[in-house]
Amino acid sequence: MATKFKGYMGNMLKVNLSTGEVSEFDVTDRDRELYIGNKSLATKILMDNQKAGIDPLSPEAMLIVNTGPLTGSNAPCTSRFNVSAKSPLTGAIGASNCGGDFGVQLKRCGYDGIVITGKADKPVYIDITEKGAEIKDASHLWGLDTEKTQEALSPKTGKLVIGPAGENLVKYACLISQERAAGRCGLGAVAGSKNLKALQAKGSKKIEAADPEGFKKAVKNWIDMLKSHPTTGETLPKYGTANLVNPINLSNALPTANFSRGRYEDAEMISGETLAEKYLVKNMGCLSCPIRCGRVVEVDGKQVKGPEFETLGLFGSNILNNDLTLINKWNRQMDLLGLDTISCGNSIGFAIELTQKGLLKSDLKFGEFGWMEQLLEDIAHRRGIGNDIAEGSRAMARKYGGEEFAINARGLEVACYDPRSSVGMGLGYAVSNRGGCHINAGYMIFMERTGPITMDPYSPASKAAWTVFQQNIFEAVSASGNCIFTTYAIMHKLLHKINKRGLLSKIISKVLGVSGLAMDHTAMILPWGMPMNMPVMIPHSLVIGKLTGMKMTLGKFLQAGERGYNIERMFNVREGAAQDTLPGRFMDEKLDPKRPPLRAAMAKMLPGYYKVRGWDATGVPKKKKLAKLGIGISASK
Amino acid sequence: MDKPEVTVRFYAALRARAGSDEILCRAANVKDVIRHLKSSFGTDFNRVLNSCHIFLNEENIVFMRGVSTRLKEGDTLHILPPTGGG
Ligand code: SF4
Repeated sequence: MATKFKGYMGNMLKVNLSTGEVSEFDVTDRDRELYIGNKSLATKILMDNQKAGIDPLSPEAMLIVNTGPLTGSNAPCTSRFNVSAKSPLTGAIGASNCGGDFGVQLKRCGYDGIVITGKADKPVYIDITEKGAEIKDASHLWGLDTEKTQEALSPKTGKLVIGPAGENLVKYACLISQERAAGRCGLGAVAGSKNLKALQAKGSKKIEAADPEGFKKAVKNWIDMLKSHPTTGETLPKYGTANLVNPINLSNALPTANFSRGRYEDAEMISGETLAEKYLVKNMGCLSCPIRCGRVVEVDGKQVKGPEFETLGLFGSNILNNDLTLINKWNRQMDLLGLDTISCGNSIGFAIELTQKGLLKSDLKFGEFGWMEQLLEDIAHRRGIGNDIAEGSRAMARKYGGEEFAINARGLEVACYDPRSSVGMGLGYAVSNRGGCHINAGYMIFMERTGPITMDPYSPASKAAWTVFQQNIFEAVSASGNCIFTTYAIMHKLLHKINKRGLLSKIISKVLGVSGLAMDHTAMILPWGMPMNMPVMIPHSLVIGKLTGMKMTLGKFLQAGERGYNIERMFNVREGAAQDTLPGRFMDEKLDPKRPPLRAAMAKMLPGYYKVRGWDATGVPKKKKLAKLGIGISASK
Repeated sequence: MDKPEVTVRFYAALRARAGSDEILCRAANVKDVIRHLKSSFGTDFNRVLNSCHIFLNEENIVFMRGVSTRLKEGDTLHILPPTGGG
């Protein structure tokens, strides 16, 4: 066994598709302790093994599919595995998390991950068993959609595949496992550039725990906690992420007509409530998930995965579509084609506005959608105007203009929250390592708008410190192989019982608003300042410790998240992709005439954020910070 | 003079507990509405109601005068439980 820690399988595979060579890839236990796994560890591997400045679609680019210690461990929500590479859409770090069955089966084969380089001279798939990996001919699969590809592979294996979008190098092509997507950053195109159509894995090895009894008990308590929490025990199972449509609309943050407004008069028609009442067949979950936030709906007589909140917004309000039947249909079509619904919907919204402004010649229009199904096919196959939209909004703006209303950050199309009504989200989108991603941003809208206790969503006060905290914890949770939706329980269920209009709620809200000063120094006291675990709110560190045998504490866990965020930032610095900006529409156009433009809050939050992070005034981690985190990389740009 | 008639809309978990999307209610201010709701639905409803965000038309009442915010004929109050997802 190549690791002293349980929970990990101790081996990684390396496959060179140009030479056909399959070998072992070494990871040290020190790196396991520092980076835990998944996206953080994958970035460390990319930093150490991939040359700076490479073309992400060239044979020398690495594509990493890996897991965390919790993946497949039977702890709640732990089917999660990761896909990482330099993103062809952004040129920055690309990482995408997926809840399909591939990661679990990969571990059962005895592997924590696979590092893929090179380019096959014809379409191939990688077949992984307990004996290793074999590269096999996939000529018969090329051109098939993601469902047919999975059906054509061996039954009962865990699969990860691309659709036509990945084959045709659409810059936001995703990978699909079962019906779950590694959606963002265009990693499906990286697979496509290698002529890699699919991976499949099947094994029967056991994932052992260092303290089986302690692990079992901690897992049971965690499951009980998730089931009894109002968000993870009721809202998400009943309404899925779609529950957000109405609250985000009322918060004036629902992208409408390419983010030109924050409210859509027909929001109710595309809401989670309407989805649940009129379309929902049942809910579904990723493996080992007690939350089960997934939706099952019927499209063309078949039960299929329903849309997430992001898809409802970007294919609903953002293009002025109030027909949920259409969204269900397009969502299914995009999953089959292998398209990221966020980047795709956002880029289409941009193309419509370009057309409306006379900058692009097309038939696209807000509110009329006879063209949509054909357009999605054209994007995936890079035909006509679809070829431009396949490049994403930043590239389109470079060609046609309209940069100020091309709604992306670092080249990644922004998710379904308008930051002008939640300024902490604005900060998060701007600094997020992978670009306009709500999760990597720190998801401050929960602290500012939708959570049980909220801060003033227009005030910059304390937002830098809370953004850093949220980003670090999400990073650590993802690194461990766990779904970030488990973090909703950080806001203990008792907080949901506090009378929102009572004195206590007001006091907590005020304290949060001024807590930045104290929070600023959290990083300084990590890990020694939190030498304990806190399972009633953040069970992750305790469970990782029981599983792996690592001496994990809350402090070490949070610091691992901070380390992951910093190494991703260093990747971006090295690739020249570390500019932290937002589109002009967000910065200068007001959503609410009574409020100052977002630019004013950003000017206060951004320097504060760099300070809390220990980064210099240009957003580069200082040597001292890197040394403290044990990241042995030069800080020079 | 009669108090103004307002529409009260429920969302997510609250909608399930109220058994309807919305009700009509006569109330001078938000406090009146809360009082009315507390006496109309069960304890389970009231428990969720406590933690809800309340919007008057399109503005969160925390940016107005809180529960003392006055209502006019035809106003809509939106009552939403705290939520998550993403
Ligand atoms: S909460 Fe939702 S996304 Fe997360 S593991 Fe469960 S079903 Fe999957």
